[in-house]
Amino acid sequence: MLSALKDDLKLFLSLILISAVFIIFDNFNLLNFPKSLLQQVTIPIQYGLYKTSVNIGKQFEFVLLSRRAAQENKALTEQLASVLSENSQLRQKLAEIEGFLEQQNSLDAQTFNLVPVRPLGFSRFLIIDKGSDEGIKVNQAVIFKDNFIGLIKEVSPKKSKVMLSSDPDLKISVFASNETGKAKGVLSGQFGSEMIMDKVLHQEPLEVEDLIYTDGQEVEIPRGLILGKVAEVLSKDNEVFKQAKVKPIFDVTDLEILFVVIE
Amino acid sequence: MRLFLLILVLVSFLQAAFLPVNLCLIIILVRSFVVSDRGNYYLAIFTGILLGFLAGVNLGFWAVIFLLVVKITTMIRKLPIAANYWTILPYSFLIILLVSLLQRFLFSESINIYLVLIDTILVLPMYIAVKLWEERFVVHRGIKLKV
Repeated sequence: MLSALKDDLKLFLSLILISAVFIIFDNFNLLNFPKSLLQQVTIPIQYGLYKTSVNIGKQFEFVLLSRRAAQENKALTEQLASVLSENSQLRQKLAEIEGFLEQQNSLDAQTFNLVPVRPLGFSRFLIIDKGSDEGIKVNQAVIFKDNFIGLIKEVSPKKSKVMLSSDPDLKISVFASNETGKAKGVLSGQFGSEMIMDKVLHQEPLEVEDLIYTDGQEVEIPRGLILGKVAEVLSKDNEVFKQAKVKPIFDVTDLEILFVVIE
Repeated sequence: MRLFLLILVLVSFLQAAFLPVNLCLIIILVRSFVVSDRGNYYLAIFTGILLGFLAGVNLGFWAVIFLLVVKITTMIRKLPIAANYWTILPYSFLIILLVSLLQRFLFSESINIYLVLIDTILVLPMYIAVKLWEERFVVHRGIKLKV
């Protein structure tokens, strides 16, 4: 047992001595020649291993980067959707505010009690987002700036239907005005976007591009609101009255906000 | 032992090329903890010189370190506390830390404590693998009873 320990110690010391010799020799660069010989074999192997490790590292890095990029892409897509939604809401609010400001310049808010409404849908009638809860009643006028849009046809507590000026059931007394004078008539819708101004006397001046205004004979409709402009004058000598095709100035579906004239 | 020699040569190349962990030290330490034979010294000096050569440091540095590790481990494994295999964890932590300190003083390399911890954690699976190998796959001389 003791001899084994001694042998063990001897081996250890002798190997330490050998290592010390290596340290000294290497310190004085005495092993450079055999080292350079061996390096001719080992350096290509080391280089190959190093390059392999770098390539493997790059592959892992690529996988990690692509995973991160996918996560970032998802997050950015969500952010973009949120920003777009916010942008849309802001645009809508801006349009509403602009509408309010322009409306204030058009009809005096002190004379006319106006309720702002938003369009919800459009088929034959325009559906708006306010109803009897906000004081809206049947036959009240719906306007935008100085333009007549239609009349309230049906009212529910939260929604209302607006009969547009292009509806054939709507008949309004109107007049056209130009430099030579006025032409009075009755405007009725023709389905679609076109309207007809009828019952215009032949002697009354009526020309293309003349603006058509409400006459104010209906109690609920203020006088002087624009309905459209004359697109074509239809005049036949054998008829008592002449007619005119009237086109609205803008598309109702483009509007963000409208106003109902309560009083 | 041949297998260990082969593994150590391979690991030396890997360690010198890119591996940040000191796998050579771990293998030598673990084998010394599991097996007590003279082969550990030969493995230590051979691996030390090879690693020194491949890593471009003084040829005898790692040889001396590994020899000292083998010697200390051989002494530790004779203590009763070494019967519990969990002992290898604090012991290897100390050894790896000491080697890192030596590297710091001799080569001015800063100590990476995370790397020391990773090395220490790696010791345990390595220990289990070496123990399994030595107990199950290495043929030992049969014990003969004197009658």
